Amino acid sequence: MRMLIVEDEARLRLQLARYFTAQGWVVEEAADGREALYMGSEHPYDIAIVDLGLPEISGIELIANWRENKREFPVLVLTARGDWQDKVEGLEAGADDYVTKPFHLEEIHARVNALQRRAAGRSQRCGDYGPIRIDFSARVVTRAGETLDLTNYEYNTLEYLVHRAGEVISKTELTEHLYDQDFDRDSNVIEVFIGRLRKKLDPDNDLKPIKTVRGAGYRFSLKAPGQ
Amino acid sequence: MRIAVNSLAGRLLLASALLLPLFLGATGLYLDRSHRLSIEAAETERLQLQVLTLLAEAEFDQTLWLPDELLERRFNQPNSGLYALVSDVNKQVLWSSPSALTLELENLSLKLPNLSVGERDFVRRDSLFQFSYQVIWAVEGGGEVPLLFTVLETVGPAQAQLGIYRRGLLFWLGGSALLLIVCQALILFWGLRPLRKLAGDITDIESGVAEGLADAYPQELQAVTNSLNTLLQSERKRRERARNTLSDLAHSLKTPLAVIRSADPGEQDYGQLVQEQTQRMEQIVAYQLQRAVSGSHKLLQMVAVAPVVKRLQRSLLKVYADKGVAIELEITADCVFRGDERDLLELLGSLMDNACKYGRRQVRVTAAGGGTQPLLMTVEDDGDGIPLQLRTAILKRGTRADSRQSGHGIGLAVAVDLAESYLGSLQLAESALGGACLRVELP
Repeated sequence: MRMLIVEDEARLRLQLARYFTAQGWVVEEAADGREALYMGSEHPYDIAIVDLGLPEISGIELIANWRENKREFPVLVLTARGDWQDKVEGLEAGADDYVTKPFHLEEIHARVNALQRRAAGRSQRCGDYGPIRIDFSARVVTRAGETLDLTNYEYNTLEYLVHRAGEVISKTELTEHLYDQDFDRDSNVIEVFIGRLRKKLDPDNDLKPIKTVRGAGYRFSLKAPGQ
Repeated sequence: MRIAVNSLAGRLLLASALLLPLFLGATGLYLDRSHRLSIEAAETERLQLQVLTLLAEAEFDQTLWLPDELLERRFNQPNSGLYALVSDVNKQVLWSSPSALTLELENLSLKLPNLSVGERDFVRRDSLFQFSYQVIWAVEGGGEVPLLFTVLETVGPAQAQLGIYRRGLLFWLGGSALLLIVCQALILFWGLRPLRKLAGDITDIESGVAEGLADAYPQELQAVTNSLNTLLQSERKRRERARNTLSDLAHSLKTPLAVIRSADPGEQDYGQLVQEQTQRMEQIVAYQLQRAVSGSHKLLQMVAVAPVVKRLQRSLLKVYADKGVAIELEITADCVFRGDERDLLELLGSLMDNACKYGRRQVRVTAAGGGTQPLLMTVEDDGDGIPLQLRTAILKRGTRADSRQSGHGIGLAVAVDLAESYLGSLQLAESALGGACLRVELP
C-alpha cells in the first residue's frame, strides 16, 4: 500500500516514514505543500498524512486542492495547535481524521488502519473470508486458526486485493501500490508473490482465493460474511 | 483648508461661515426693501398733502390762479427741491411754482400720467419723486375744467435717510454675524471638549498612566466609551491570561524536567520514567496551548450558534464514522453567542468530542437563548457518564494543569476556563440518555 507523508519537519517526517516502511507501507515523502500537490495529483496513494502547517501551500489548501481534482484517498491531518478551528477547517477541506501533535506513532498507526478500513468499507479490524481471517490492524493472516507466515510484500499484495475484493486488479496497479518508483516493472515478481500467496492461503488448492483474469490481472474472489 | 475639513470643529465653523452670510444677507435685503417702501409711503403722503394745500390755495376764474406767495415756502424758492405744476388735459402746463424755474417743464409735462378724475399717481422719475392728482374744477356758468396737480420732490433727502439706514443695518448685521461665529466657535470648543478629553484619556491609556476611561462622559459618547472599556478590559484579561499561561507552563514543566534530571540514567526503569514524564509534559503543553488560543473575547460580536454546531456535527460524524454515532441537534433559530466564534467552536468542540468519544451511539446537543437572554447549551451522551470523583476535580478552579489527567480532563478543563472567562458556568449532570450531561450557561 502506498502512503504519502507531507511534513516539513525533516526529523518527524523521517520517523514517520521509517515507522510505516517497517509496517510494510510504500512510503513517499514531501517536505512542502507544492511538492505534495504535484505528487498527490500524479501518483495513486492509498492514504496521505498531512501536516497542516506547511510551507508554500498550507495543508488545508493542499487537501482542498486534491479533493477538487477528485483525489479521494483518505487523508489524516496532523495539527500542532490542536484547536477546533484548525481541526474543523481541515475536516471541512476534505480530511478524514486528525491527530494532534505531539503524538505516539502507534496512535497514528491506529488512525491509519481505521481510515483504511473505512476506505475499504469495513467497520471491523478483522475480516473473515471462509477459513481465512485477516487482522488488518495486527497485519496477521490465519487459516483455520493457524497463523500464516507472510512477508511484508505478500501481506501487502493480499491486503490490496482484499481491499478491492471482487474487482480485477492489473499488475500495473498492484505494482504502483506496492512498490516504490524505482521498482523494475518488467520483472515477474508480482507473479511470484501471487504464486506464493496462493500456496500459503490455499495449500490444498480447493479455495482458489485469488483468480487470474487472463490479460487483465487478478481478483480476490472470496467474500466476507454480509458482502 | 484640508486641516479645517479634517476636524469636526473646522467643518462646523466652515458650514456656519458659509450659511450665515446667506441668512443674514436675505434678512438684510428684506429689511432694506421694507424700509425703502416705508420711506416711499411717507413721501407719497407728504406730497399728497402738498397737492391738497395747493388745491386749497388755487382759484379758477377763466384762468387758473394761485397766490404769488404760497404757504409752503419751498415752492417760492427757486431750485428748493420741492416743485409744483398744474397742467390741463393736453399736458400743457398752466401754472408752475416759482421753485420750478430751473426745471425743464416741457420735457417733464410729456411724462405726466393720464389719469381719470380723482385718480392719484406716485412715481419715482430719475432723481425726483412725482405725485399727481387729477381733479375737475367747476367753473362759473356750469363748465368743468380738468386739471392735473403734480408735486415733485428731489429724492436726495430720502436717499440720504436710506443710506444712513443701510449703513446701520450693515453694521448690525455684520456685527451679529461675527458675534454668532465667535459664539459658535465657543460652543464648539465647549461641546467638543469631551472628545478632546477622550483623546487625552486614550493617550493616557497608551502611555500606561490610566487603565480605562472614566464614566464622566456625555450620554452620546457613553456607548463608545463603554465599548472601549469593554475592549480594554478583555484585552487586559487576554494579556493576563497569556502571562499566566506562560507562567503556568514554565512552572508546570519544571516538575517533570526535575524528575528526569534527578533520575539516574543507569536505572532499569529510566526509559519508562522519561516516557511518563514526557507524556505529562505533552499534556501540560496541550492544555496550556488550548487555553492560550481560546478566550480572545470579541464581546461585541453576535455569533449564531446553529451554524457552529452544524460544522462540528459534520466534522465529528466524519471522525467517528466507524463508531456510527448519531448527533442530534435541538437549537432554536434565534440562539446566539455573544463573543468570539473561535471560543464557541472550542467550547462546543471539546464537549461534543468528549460526548462522541465516551458516548455509545447517541449524542444530543441543545441550545437556546442568547442575545439579551442567558445562553443555555447542553451536550449529552449515552455513555457511562463522568465518575463523581472526577467531576469535582474538573470543576475545581485553579487546579494546576500538570495535575490533570488525559481524556476528559484537558478538553473539559479548557471548556470550564472558557465558560468562566465569559462569566458563565459549566455543570456536570446525568443525562436522560444515560451518560453525561454537560450544561453550559452564559449570561
